[in-house]
Amino acid sequence: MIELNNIRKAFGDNQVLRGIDFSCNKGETVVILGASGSGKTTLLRCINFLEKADAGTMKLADSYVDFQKAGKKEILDIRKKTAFVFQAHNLFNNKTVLENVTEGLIIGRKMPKTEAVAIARQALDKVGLSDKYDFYPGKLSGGQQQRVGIARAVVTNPEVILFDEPTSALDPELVGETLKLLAGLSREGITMIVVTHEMAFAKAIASKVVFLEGGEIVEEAPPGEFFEAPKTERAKKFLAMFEYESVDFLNS
Amino acid sequence: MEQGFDLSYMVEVIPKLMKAFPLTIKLAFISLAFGFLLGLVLVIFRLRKGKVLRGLAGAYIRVIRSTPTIVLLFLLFYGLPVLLSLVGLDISGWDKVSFGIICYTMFSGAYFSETMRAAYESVPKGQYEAGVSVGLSEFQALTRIVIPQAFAVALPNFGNTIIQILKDTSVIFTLGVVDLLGQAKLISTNGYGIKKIEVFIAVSLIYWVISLVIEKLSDFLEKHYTKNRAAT
Amino acid sequence: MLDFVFAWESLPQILRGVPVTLLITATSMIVAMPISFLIALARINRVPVVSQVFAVYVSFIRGTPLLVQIYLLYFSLPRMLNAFFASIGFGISLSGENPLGYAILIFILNTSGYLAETFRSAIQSVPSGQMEAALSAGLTTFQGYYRVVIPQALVVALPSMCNTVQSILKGTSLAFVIGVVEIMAEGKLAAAYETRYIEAYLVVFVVYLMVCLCIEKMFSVLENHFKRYKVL
Repeated sequence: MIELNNIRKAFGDNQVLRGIDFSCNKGETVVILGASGSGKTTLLRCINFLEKADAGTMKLADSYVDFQKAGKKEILDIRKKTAFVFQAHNLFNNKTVLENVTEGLIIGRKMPKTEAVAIARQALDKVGLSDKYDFYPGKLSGGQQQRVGIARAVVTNPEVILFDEPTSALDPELVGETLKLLAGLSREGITMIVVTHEMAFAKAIASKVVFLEGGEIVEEAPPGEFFEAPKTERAKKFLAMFEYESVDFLNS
Repeated sequence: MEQGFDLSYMVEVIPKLMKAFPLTIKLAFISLAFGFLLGLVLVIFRLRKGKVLRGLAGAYIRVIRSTPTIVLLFLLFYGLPVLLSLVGLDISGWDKVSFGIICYTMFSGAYFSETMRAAYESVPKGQYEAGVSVGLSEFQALTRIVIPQAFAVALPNFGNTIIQILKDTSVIFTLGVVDLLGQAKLISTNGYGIKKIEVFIAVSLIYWVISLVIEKLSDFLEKHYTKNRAAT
Repeated sequence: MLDFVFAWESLPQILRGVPVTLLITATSMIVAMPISFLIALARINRVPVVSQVFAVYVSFIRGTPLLVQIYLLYFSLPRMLNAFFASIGFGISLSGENPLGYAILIFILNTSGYLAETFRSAIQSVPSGQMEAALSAGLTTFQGYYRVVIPQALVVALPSMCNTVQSILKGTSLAFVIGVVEIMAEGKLAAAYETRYIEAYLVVFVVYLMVCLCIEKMFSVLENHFKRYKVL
């Protein structure tokens, strides 16, 4: 229920995305893998218009956009249907944890405050931050900030949540808890597109893996196939760089 | 010649000096208010993508920052009437203070815009991106997320600009306006030479106190505004 | 409408004020630098009594208008200096003659106040580890400052110093009130001579602009030269 066609994006002379065709079905967790510079973050950011793609079209649930012609209304419409979790968390520094989560509901979706607060509290309880409602982001650890970021993304009930390397900026001991959270969301059937380096996570959670290199999709397959028996040379070379153990996310 | 320093005279002269206080304050704050608006316009021009507006604002700021106050003041005083008469406006009835207001508005506008620009640029881009990702419009993300944070950064510099302009208003005395400094000169030329020092110490104390008050106020506002909002 | 011939012809006269302006500016800056470093170091190290005295001094300089300082010091310095010299047995009687000398003194005092703040924050921005490394290598504290910390602080302070020099330059436009014949004074003379005020002050305006630009270029060169010290 999200379909991208022929996405192209260049930064100056650098052609970062060379005609990407990508799709993701409802309830799926798609993991995008690739080396730095492969274009994976750019692709993700194009979906909610943090970067403006030069060309291509996108179908998201019942919305359709042509990237070349997209105007403010279309962009806002797409942004209300998507949510983004940043590598650098990007919590609103001038708002409390609770306010961070309600902002999208109250202002973005014009929800009444009491309703928004109730929903936000629920989401924050779920990620284990019930005692931090009135804290400002500066007082939270990286892992806690990321959990708020995830709660903030989940409450708006988007068609798809976009994750840009959600654990790359975290201390190693905090990575695990965040990935567990993500695994839980995936289990619940939330549609997710995740850019990450966490191979074990990808192997355990992804519905399918999309491997990007040089701005093109080189290989696309279910994780079992991709990790055990990659078809392309480039995918094989990429996987050889990583050693990973399988962690049982579903049952830990 | 009696070399003693007359403290009682100094104290006595303060109320006389304060007669000019309202004029100085009015001049400063009216200019600052208009200057703030000008600063807003300038910073919006500076941050746009269009080269023309950006260049114009940038050039204006650079030129203003290279100009001594008195030069601009005199240029306005002698030149503006002639300039406006070319388009049919007669400002011969204008009070000298008005030229001061225009002059200090032009300066404070440049200072304010630089402060605003630096403050705006200091807010990480990710804050804006997070705002729009959550469904806020560009305008909402700017006004609800970015600008409040930029404001906290800009506060101390706003305080500095206010103090700077307040001190600079003393230059209007060269046009013959009786502001605090003008009043000091009036009083001192009416007395003996010895009394001059006391008068000028008194007037400098007045300015000093005003500056300190504004500084303290600015510090207080800053602490109050940024209570818990330490950004990581 | 504008008499460009007059403007052009008044240029040489107005330019005659430039050396005086530059003299005051350069001398103040050069003499103020070591003074300001001393003040900054005294305040950073919280030397008892001295640092408080300096704090008051800096606050006064920064809290009072330059024009007020000019008058205040011009009236009080001769008497203070006379008293000082008398106390060490040197009986001289200074008066207000040679205003240039007093102007330079006044601007040295003024610049030191502002520069001390600039240097204070620049020195504090040099990591304490630098001094620790210097001491560990066997340098004395003085050498540590002189050879390691201060050079790095200077690099950080360069942009601010450019602003300071431009400020002094613009400030000298007020020195004419005590009789110094610098750019502004020449401008006033030229203007009065043929009552061509606008043209004269426009020339003055352009002259200040040009000198400020030259100062900027100079500092640009300096900053580029010292870029290699910058820690990324």
